[in-house]
Amino acid sequence: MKPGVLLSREARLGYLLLAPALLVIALVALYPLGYTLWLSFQQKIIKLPWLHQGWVGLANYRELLAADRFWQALAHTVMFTVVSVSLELALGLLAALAIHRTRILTGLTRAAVLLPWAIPTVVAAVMWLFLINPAFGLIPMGLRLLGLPEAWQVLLAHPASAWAVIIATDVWKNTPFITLMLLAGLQVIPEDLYEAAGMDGASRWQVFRHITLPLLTPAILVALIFRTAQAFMVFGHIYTLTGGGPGTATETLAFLNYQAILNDMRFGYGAALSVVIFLGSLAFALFYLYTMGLQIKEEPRP
Amino acid sequence: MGEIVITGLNKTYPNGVVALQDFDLAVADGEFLVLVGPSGCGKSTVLRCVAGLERPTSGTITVGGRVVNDLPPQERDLAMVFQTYALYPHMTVFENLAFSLKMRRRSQEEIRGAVASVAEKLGLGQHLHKKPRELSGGERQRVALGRAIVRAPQAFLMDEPLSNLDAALRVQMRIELLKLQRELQATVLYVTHDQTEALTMGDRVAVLHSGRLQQVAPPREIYDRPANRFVAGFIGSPAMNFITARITRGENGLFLDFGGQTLSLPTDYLQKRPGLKPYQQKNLIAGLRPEHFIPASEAKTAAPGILKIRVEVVETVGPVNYVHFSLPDPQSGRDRTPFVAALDPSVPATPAQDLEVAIDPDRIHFFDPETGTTTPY
Ligand SMILES: Nc1ncnc2c1ncn2[C@@H]1O[C@H](COP(=O)(O)OP(=O)(O)OP(=O)(O)O)[C@@H](O)[C@H]1O
Ligand SMILES: [Mg+2]
Repeated sequence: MKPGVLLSREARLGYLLLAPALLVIALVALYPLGYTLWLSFQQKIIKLPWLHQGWVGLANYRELLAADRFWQALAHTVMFTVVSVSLELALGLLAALAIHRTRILTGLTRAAVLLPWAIPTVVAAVMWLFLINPAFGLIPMGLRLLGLPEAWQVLLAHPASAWAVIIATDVWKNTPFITLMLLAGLQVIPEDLYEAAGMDGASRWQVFRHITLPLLTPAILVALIFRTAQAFMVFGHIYTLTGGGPGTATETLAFLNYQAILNDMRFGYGAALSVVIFLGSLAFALFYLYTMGLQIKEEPRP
Repeated sequence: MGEIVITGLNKTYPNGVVALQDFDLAVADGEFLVLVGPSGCGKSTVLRCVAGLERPTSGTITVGGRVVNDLPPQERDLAMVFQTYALYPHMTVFENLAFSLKMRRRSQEEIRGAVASVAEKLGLGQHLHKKPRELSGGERQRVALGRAIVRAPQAFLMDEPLSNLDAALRVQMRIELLKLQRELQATVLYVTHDQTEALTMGDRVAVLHSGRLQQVAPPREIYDRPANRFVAGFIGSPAMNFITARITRGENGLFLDFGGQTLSLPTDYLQKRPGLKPYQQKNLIAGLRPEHFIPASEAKTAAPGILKIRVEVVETVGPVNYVHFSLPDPQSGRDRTPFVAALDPSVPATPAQDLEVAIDPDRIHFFDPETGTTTPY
């Protein structure tokens, strides 16, 4: 038998074994994606059934790109994603390093760190609503003690402080996730590499910069991709905390999407927004892969 | 290069394990000292205390005349070769070799020059752009070595650097390592559990057992005059045979009783080994190295001790045959004490065959049965 035949047989078997998984992926991921894409070229407004329903080409996208509210929401979304994911990464990294270094928190207590992450977004947001309640919330009380003007104590009344609350909620909830991912990443870095670097004369900072960080990059990358995709679709906090307000100051893409579909019943237009959100997440993921992934491809794990 | 002096080193790990007790050792400037001992005896602990990776419970460590107890590893100016090599997986061979110089902010030219010269010395020239994972075990070992020698530290600490290599490569690297050490006139504290490595490589050998130093001496002396039964049994392969024996004086001379047989000893034996006098008529532990048995027919000494044995198993290893037999040892309550004799393959030996072997009485080691220390020579 020629080796080529053997190889192709093997390859065929390989595809055969992959087929069920591919089928599932196609069903649960590709089909909805494709359907959304198709829908985004349609006009489908359930509230206005007398209007033309059906193929409208790029009309939805044209309308979208012409809307100031869309651009504003896009800017909000990007801002929210960048700020909250950066904060979460920084805090998560610090926490992971501290927990790893001091070996505090093991087993059950380590799992307890995850607690905020395990709380549903809406529940977490409601908790924060209590915390910031101008009448009895802990935070306005603290602000009062600090002597801040009365007006500032109604945190959700100002765009900047409303965003601060939204971001704080998100950071509070999601930092543990990053902490845990990075902690797992830290644990697979062999101790003797740190020792070797120490013998080689590297200071603490140099060890972090030249050993820890590069070897942690795969874990950071995975955590970032996960968190960014989620942050780009932020909806729960906005809906619960501000409802997009004051005015439209805290509207995000996912919030517009919700309004388009569930308020206005504009399925085609909503689908176009969904596609934009998807592309945005994808752009972030590709950016990460491009900037950090290049090194990883050569160097998977220590 | 500097000498390493360890005085009164004790180390108890937080979990209560006593790894080292009253450990004293001095490695002279330019010396290759091998620390050898069985697994878990505390060898790595010694190295790690010297390196600064582990804090001694008590004791003083000086490197090049400077007390380093309170200095972090970064400031001790020592280089270490780890048993696991601990190469930086995300860096190329070049970057691995350059790392310590880069951390010391040396100039680009200096780094390039130093790395090139090390790579040349260790034959790593064509691997400089590769990552550790793309290298064979021997190549990785050389990178680990290169990383240590790229700068000129006070001394080198090596933790079983050859243990991950196959037998042939190990022998080759042993020689290369020694050549390199001579060339650099480096002070080396080298840890191994392999007694062959210890004997072949060390200017001096330090034997460690259960956290206590047993003997420090040149290889020849360790082999010829082991300080106690542990060292005697640990050094040498196959290991020394031990059996309870007794020196008796009869009407027509001096005898050694063991294994249910009586060997005649030269009449001036106790004059030559006065340390044995107090042990007459008392139990002693006799130690016989396998390589010191000779066929009875070839014995040249005037009064050879002739031992009658029944061959049990014969192992052929090439230059010699290992002939296994056993002797009764009533004093220790065992009726079969296993023995090995290394005999020339020309001596016919097959299982169940009766054979006579001779022992040169001068090559018998005696140990105090209580303390295990060697009786004075
Ligand atoms: N970090 C530690 N914590 C607690 N006990 C330890 C620690 N490191 C080593 N030990 C114990 O100390 C003793 C000596 O260990 P060490 O690593 O020095 O042995 P070793 O001679 O290097 O052994 P090997 O030849 O197997 O490497 C062992 O009993 C070991 O279990
Ligand atoms: Mg060890």
